[in-house]
Amino acid sequence: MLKYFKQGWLVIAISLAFGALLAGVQLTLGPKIKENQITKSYNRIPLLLLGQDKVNGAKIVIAGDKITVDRDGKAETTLTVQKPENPLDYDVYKVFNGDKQLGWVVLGKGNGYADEVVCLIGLSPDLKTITGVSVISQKETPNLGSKIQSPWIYQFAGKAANPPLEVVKNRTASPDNNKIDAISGATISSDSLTAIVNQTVAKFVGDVEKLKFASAAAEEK
Amino acid sequence: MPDNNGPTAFERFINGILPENPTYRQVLGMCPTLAVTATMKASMTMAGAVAFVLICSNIIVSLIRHLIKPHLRILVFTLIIATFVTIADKFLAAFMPDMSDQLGPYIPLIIVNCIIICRCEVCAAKQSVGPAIADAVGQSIGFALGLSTVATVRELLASGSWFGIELFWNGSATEGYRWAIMGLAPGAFLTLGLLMGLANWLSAKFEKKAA
Repeated sequence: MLKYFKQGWLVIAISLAFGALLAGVQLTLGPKIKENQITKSYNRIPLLLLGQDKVNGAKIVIAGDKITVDRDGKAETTLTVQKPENPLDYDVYKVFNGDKQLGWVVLGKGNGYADEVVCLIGLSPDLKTITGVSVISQKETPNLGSKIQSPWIYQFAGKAANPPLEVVKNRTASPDNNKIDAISGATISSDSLTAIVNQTVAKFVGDVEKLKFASAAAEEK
Repeated sequence: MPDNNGPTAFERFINGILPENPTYRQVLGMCPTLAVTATMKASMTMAGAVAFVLICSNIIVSLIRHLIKPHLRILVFTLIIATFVTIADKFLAAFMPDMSDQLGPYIPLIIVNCIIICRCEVCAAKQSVGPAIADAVGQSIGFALGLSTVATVRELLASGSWFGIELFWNGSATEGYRWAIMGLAPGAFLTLGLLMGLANWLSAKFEKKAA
């Protein structure tokens, strides 16, 4: 027994010391990392619900559950985010502009061409219109599939939530309400993102009745 | 084992940069060299993370080198390296979230980066803290040099930019001439192969001149 301890005491000592060190690092940086993830989602909410015109060139300030769109140092719009009291297995944000509900923002996940794609989907309060889609995490092929993060994605804004969106390869002359133009060279990435949007919207339409929100703001429609 | 029977601190430092360059001479750490060199920004973040881990683990290994039992050394090295890699990973996630997302699994993979374990074994486990730090700094600079040469070629050809800055006055004019493949895996292999050939050719030329 003593023999083994003589051989291995350094390994045990190092493990304990480094374990404590890592616990300290996690305690210090953990909240910051969590905050980064929330900030990342909240930063996209104005773009998803207000549209790109209102956001371009403006600064987004996040304080708790309030998101302010600042233009030239003046607060242009202030949004309030509510999270459901009974969280689903995916993130849902109910967003208000003053007392009026501006819309919903729902997190969608699924497989892309290379790895998981995570996106946020903006929906109108009546869930009939997609107000925008924004990719928050992807590892698609650089310069091809990664274009799902480019302005290409703005074409989702204004599409009807039902029937499901369809990807087409050749730009059609008439802007159809459920057609998405594929990115050339990245059909699979375009298909995957569209499928994620379709699935998430369908799932959320089924789940929305189950959600409970703090009463004060929720009664206003 | 007598101390400092190896090269001096200065020799270690210089050796790491060119004569024993990790990328072109030792051919170590090929995983990040191929995987993250599509852009300059990602490469330099990786080089910084490797430098941090390498310097810290060389210091610790050098300090405890008399206590390490020879047959347990790899275990101890791995423990030390893994700890600093985890710290680097958390630090990036907290303060550089975009880079952390982009580099994804390649930061945790520094644990198995041969450069670090090789420097622990070759230098830090045998020499005192001074040469160990000089060695780590030299090797880190050498590695950063290796990554940046590959990344410069790839980013320039694939996106016409350097450090994310468009190099041509009219960015959209070059759009048709970009080689998307240079940003992908084959581009990494091609660039690395050609640059390594160039490095070998240059060093052969210099050796001939000296002889």
